Amino acid sequence: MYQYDAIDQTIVDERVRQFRDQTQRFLRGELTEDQYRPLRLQNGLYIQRFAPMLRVAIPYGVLSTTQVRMLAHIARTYDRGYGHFTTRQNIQYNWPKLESVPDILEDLASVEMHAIQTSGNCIRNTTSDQYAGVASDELEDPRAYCEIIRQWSSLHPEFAYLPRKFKIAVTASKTDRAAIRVHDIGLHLIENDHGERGFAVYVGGGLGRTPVIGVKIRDFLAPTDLLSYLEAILRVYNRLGRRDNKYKARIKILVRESGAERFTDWVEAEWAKIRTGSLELGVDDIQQMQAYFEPPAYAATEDSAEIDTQAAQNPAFGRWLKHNVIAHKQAGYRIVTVSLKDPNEAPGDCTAEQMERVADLADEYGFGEVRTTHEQNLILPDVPHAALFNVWSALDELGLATANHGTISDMIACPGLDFCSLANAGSIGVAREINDLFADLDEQYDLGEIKLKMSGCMNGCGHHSVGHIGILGVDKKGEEWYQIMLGGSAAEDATLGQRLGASVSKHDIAPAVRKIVDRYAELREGEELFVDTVNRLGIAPFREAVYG
Amino acid sequence: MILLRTDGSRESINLRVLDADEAPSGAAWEAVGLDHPALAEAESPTGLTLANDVNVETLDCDPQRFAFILLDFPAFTDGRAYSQARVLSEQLGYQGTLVAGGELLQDQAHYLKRCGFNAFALADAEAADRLAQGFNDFTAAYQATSRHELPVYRRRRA
Ligand code: SF4
Repeated sequence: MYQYDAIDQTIVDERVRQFRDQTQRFLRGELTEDQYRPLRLQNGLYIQRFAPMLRVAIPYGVLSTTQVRMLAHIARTYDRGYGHFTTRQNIQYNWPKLESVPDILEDLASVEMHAIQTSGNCIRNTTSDQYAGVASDELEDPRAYCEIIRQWSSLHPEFAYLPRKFKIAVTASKTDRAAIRVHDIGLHLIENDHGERGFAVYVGGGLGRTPVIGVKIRDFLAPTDLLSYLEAILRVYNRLGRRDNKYKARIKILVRESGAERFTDWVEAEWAKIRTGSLELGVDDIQQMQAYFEPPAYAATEDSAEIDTQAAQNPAFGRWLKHNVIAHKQAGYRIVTVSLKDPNEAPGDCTAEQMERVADLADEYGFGEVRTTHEQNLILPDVPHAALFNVWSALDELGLATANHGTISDMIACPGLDFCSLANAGSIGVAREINDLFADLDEQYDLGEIKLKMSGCMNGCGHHSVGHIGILGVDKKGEEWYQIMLGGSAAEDATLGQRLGASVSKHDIAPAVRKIVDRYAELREGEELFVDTVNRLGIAPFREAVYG
Repeated sequence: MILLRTDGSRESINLRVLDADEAPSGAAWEAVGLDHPALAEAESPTGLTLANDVNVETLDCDPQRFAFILLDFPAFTDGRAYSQARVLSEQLGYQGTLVAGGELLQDQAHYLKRCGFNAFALADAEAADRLAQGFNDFTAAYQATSRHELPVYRRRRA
């Protein structure tokens, strides 16, 4: 993985010092709340319902075990012993004290981490495929490009005060696990007809109040042109993005109002001016970055023959093996999903002890690396096949082996009313009620892949508009109500879900989900997936199931 | 008004933006807007001021005519003038004094400097002191943005 050199360390250390000074000036009354707000947001600090919330960047979801242990230390020392992994592969702490945030940042800087641009109207953490570098279906490891983008976008002097937040995602597999088409910029590494690699560039996707699927504005961009092209897009957006209305300020509105064609013309014209300047990457610049992401020293091992016996003797292990373990590009290894979706816990929450034990496992049965996913789980990327039983046993003891990856209970949910000051309605309680109605894991397996995504308000942090089943919390005369959407997808066939009907009360939302799924079970043909049944039949039968 | 420069020097100036019907007097810190008739004259007014929604890439007057160009930050959270400054200094090769005016906080100082601003119009000495403190918040950066820096990937292999 990437390692800081003196330049990176200096920047992060100086940012900590700057933020400490900003916070002190605020506490001394030298900065007003209005002046301090954008400054703290650019460092991931929100003032939440109960306490400040600090969001720490996990660039493209990659962590060393040293970093994981530091995240655990912070949870224990400055918070209430846990953290919440988010849909942007970051981690949030819900209970730090404002005065201690500079100390937290200093601790983070000591392990090459920061909270730079995890919020605010600037370029946010670049996200990617959680299986980058180990996926059996990828063209190339996208992380080198993610890191190049991270460095270019960090404290970029021109783009710190954009009209609105700006998110970039990169993927290099056919299967899009990074949801690139719901990002402001989505980059898809592909091979063209001449066998050259480059990026298909999508712009203007996004969730929130006006969800939009991004449009392709360039079929092929040479990797050496990556930064100049990004800079051209950002400059056009900084200049022309709307600043008169917060809800119309995202780039998706600019693309829509100007038309994709005109927008593309502006970008291409700007790009032509800066393409061959200092922004042009050399092939050797890229190679230098790729050297950080060389595969680790895999042992020449084969799959273990014992595993079938272990699975037969221990059905729980067998289930986990089937659902939470996937193929690795290296023979003899597997990728393991560490489930943060215990039915009794809030999705994405993880205790300090769990983090530390996962780090131990990654050291013992891997190369000291852990990943976070936009689906709010953790990944052990390099587990030897023969060690799977041991890893499972350890995870099981920690409550991290819920064998539900890809099922309805592997749901995404934002913190909602329990923590977020913007929320209309709770997510965590509803998640629990839904889990109660789907307590039987075998039934979940029969139902197959159902991506349930839930947000506590229109901001859509829980990606509800692209859930196979999406749930959105709304406020109805001070009460918590829920809208239901069906048929969305964040993958390569990205689609927005359709609204099923009038919102339902808190009391009715979990039973409504149950009715939808029951109707699917009746209507499904053979092994047909939920989303395919919805696409085949439309939402009418499901509307009837819920509303009678 | 105090003019602070990126080298830390400051001077007290009388910065004036002329109304369209006001003739330039030739004084040092007089600026005109794009609608000023004096722009059509052969003799240039000293300075030009641009609103932050002007596309500097399509200016139909030569920026080099002006000893200074004043760009505006109506609020410090409105970052359009950063792009204008970079285009002026990097693409159009503007060599004169690029002045930032409006709401400037010390927390923006290093960004302003790196985008090519080399002077800042501030209300008083105190504001100048505060902004100057921010010049050195960072001694390192990833991007090549001002006129003389190299991007990080070039420096690392130097
Ligand atoms: S979706 Fe709304 S309620 Fe949920 S975390 Fe985002 S802002 Fe808060």
